[in-house]
Amino acid sequence: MLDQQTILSPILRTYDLKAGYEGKTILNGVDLDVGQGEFVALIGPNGCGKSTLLKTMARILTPTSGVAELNGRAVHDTPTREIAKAMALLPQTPLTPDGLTVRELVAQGRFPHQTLWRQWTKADETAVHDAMEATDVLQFADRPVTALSGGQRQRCWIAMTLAQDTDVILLDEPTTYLDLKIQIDVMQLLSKIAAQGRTLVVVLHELNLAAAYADRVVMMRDGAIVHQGHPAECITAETLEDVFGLRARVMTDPDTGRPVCIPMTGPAA
Amino acid sequence: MTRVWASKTGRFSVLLPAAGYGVLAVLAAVLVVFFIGQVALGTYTLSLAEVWATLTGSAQDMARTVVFDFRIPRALAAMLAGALLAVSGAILQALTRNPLADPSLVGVSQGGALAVVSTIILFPAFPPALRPLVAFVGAMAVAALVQALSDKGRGRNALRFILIGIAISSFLAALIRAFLTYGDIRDSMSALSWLAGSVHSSGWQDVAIMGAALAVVFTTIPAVARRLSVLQLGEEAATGLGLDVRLNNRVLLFTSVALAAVAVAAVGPLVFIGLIAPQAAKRMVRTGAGMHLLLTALTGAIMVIAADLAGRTLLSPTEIPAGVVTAIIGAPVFLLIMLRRNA
Repeated sequence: MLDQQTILSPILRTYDLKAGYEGKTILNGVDLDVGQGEFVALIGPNGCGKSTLLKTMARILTPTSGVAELNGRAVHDTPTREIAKAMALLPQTPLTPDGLTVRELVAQGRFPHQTLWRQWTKADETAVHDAMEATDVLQFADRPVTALSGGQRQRCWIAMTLAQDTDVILLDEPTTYLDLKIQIDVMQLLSKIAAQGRTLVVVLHELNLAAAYADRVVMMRDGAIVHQGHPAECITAETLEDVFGLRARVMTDPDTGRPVCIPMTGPAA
Repeated sequence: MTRVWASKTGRFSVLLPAAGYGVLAVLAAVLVVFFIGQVALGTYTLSLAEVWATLTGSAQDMARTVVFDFRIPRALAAMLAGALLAVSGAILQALTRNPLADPSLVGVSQGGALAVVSTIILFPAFPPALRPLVAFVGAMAVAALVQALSDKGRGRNALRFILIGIAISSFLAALIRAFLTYGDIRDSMSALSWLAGSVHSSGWQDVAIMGAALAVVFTTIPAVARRLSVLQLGEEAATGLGLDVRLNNRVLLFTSVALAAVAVAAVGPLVFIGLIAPQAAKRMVRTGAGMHLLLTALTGAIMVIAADLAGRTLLSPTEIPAGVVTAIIGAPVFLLIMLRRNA
């Protein structure tokens, strides 16, 4: 099991990152390195700080101490628009304005690349089209986002982050509230995006999704990283007990070699 | 869908609104009709030919005085105040993501009103010409107080701004009532007529000040609209897209409050315009943020000029102040919006 990973060229890293709300510390000194092109899943029980870590890296929250760096530049000291050209964010519950069409939503992803004098260029057009193509939402480009199903809507939001054309994309629980089949679709889409060279850091609630798709799982508890590594090495009965306090059997998917956890649902021993 | 205007070299490109041009033209036409009505109608009624003759400078002195010294500034003041309050409401609603946000609901109008009323009661000799300045200072001071209070405590929840504003504004309303009760009866009467929100004494000076404010608004619409479009996706998404949400909210909030303060200073508190005009414009046609601000400004202008025209002519020779008319019509519409929203 790899508890300490050394990544040769981290694109995103944090040093001793501490953050919280109203003086209450939730993130308790986190060191994380994310390599170029990695697909990293942050997992852990509710309140473990995985969303706080993501939000602090995304500059939604300001750290109380420590640094988050993107390409070697401190995220919180760099003009926010410069960061937005290199790192996109899909929040857990973004707002969808009534009537906004899919194309209009995806076009908002171009905001950091535009100025008042240069509101729409060929590059914008191409990026928006490619993003909609990659997420397979072109067929309802001119429909209102609110008229779509939950899974279709999530694909539109992912398209918006793709149109932003960044190396890194942070996603906060992108599969929550979706049907199982749709969750798989979204994860497969994310895998495809990662395979094309983008770096993804994703907060996930569903252990088995993280186990099946991530290059690395980062397991958090009480505001700190306690285990991390490839799912096959890192997700074991012991680490699940340790991180979640969950008694579970961990088996291996014969097709993918990935771990699958089955919580013990029988009467408590 | 989107229309783009781009220079040959591609160095400059502007996104043009995709829809709303038809509605814009209709609203502009309606506004012109009301303007002509406002200039022609009244105790000294002019025919269209006489209005034309006056405007082109070939009429007798009496008509010239009525038209240029009273009716035109009054009509323009009504339109400008309506447009300013409407845009102020639209920005506030977009910022707070609350369709019930309105400058008169969050203490801005009451702040201006308290400043003026207390000046009238405590210093009866204070020159009325300086009232707009007093009102502006009062409105901005209350907005700053509300902002400071809502910045304290957890998060930067836009809803807090509204709730604290409502609390402060009812407190201010109570203070205003106290001043009216304890003040000298003649001073109180003078204060009451200002409080009713009226454009009947508006002159060219009011028009110039409000016109300048609106000119600033119109030139900044493209920049404001870009930010509002991003902000409507939520503060987290907006941050992810590279918008400095905190700075942006402060600047836009200040703009919204300042626009309302300019209008309140010139014509007194006109309620519900900032609430209803943006909602009405939204229901006419779905457009981007920029076109919506334009339509909202025109709608607000029409509402106030129509209210003033109605108040001036319906019960003639008795005049009902425009502020009373907008309140009478505005309250039920406010309820309607709220009930439909909760339905």
